[in-house]
Amino acid sequence: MSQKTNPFPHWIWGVYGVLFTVSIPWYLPAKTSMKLVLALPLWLLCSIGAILLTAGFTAWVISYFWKEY
Amino acid sequence: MTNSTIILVCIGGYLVLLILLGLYANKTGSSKSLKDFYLAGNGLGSFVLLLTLYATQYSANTMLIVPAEVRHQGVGMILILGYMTAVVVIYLTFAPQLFAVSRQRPLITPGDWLSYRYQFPALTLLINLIYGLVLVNFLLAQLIAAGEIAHSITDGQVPYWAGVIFLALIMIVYETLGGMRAVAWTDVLQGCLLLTGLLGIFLMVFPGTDQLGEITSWLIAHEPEKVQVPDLDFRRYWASTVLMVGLGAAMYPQSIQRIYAAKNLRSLKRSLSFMVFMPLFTILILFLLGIISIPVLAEVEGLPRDSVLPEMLRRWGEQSTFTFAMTILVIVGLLAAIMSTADSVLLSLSSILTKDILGASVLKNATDAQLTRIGKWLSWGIMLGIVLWSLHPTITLWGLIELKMQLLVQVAPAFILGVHFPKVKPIAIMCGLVVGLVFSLTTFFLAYSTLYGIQSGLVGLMLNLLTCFIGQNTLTKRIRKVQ
Repeated sequence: MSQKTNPFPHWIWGVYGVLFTVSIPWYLPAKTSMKLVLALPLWLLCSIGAILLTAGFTAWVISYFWKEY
Repeated sequence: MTNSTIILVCIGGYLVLLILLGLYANKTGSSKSLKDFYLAGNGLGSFVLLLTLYATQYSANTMLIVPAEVRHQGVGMILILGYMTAVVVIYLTFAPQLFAVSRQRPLITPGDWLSYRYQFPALTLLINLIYGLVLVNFLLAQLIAAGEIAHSITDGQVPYWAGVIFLALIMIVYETLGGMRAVAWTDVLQGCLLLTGLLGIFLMVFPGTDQLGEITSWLIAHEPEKVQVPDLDFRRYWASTVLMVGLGAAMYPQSIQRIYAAKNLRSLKRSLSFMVFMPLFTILILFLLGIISIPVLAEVEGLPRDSVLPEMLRRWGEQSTFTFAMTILVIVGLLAAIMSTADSVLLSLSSILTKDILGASVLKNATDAQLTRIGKWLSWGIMLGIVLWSLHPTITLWGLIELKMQLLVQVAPAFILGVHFPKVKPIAIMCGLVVGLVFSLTTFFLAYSTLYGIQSGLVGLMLNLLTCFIGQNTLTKRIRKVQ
């Protein structure tokens, strides 16, 4: 069943892993002074950006790989 | 006419519209078979499917919790945006396979797929019991929210108990009239109202960069911990919450049933492609509202945790005619969010009890039409029980969400491993599920919702998977020995 009905290639889960990791500010030390962009902390905007990319990537994956079988 | 009377009239108009939609659904489609009543005859097109998925998934919990948690815990609660997006990503791990099977076999409930895949009644029964517990919990949360909102927005004109009973009665009436068709159509109306309500919030509160800058400066000066980069413990909580709620919420039976109910693959793909962007609109507006509420409500003491949105609405509503009109939109949107989730949960619960529990035991010989009729009566019974329970609420909405996700996430391996690994044995899945369940319930009742910052439900899932892996290997070795 899995071979026939699994429409997505494995590498997309790697991309999701990277986007998920980037959406959480692991890359910054805790309680550091904040850089503000558009009056919001930059780390917060990075998180929102990563989630926006996740949404866009998902829409593309659905449209490109998920075919009738 | 007082403000609360105008609000009551608007709500009344909205409720009448719901009943009319229920009547229309009753006239235009048959609801005499299980497939018609519970899945609208597998005929939901892209637009209806998108809005019914949206209205079902975004409940009163979402509307109330996001601003409340941002106010109390700070902007780190952007994690809610992460998990609402993760839900759609998780669908990709099993929805294509479930949809394909639903075109070949008459699937009504998630239990139907489990029976088809594993042919192990004990596993199907256990998962249905988990679903029963979770759905009762979810329905309870919606009715509690309905009563609280009806009470607070009418300045106490409508008592809590009257709000609960009256809204429950409206839901059960239109649901009995038209089943999934009525629920999906009212979801379209409710989804549109919810979106309009959010737009109303956006128009009322959208701050320019200067105003947002002032709010951020206030936060840095007075409550810096709410905007600083979260500490490592919170980041672990963040990551584990996104994974646990993303996996758990994708397992909701009402969502799985909407995969079956799609008219065709194109409808399902289109609705999921749009659905993945909905959190960015929905959650971000509520998130912004939460940030604004921190300085505004800084001096307020004794405000119940989940009352940030109603309190902000009350304040904005008093400012001008425009903000009052927007407030009405948001209030109706809020009620729409509650009712659209509650009706879907009720329908799903009724289908599981009727088809999987009664239909597989005492009503084995009942016809499709008889089961459908019994399902409608069961919906009334369930609603009555939950209404009586919700008259004595004792737990916050966030507490209810955490409990149900800890349980739901344990179901994920049955579906995800089941579709990808044909050799996985049902007994291995069952052992894993029992271990994960016992662990999650134990930690919940011992009040260990997290372990070293990690959601205990997710730790339970790891143990669940480990047990499943060990069980599978042991079984495979034994089978080889016997051969």
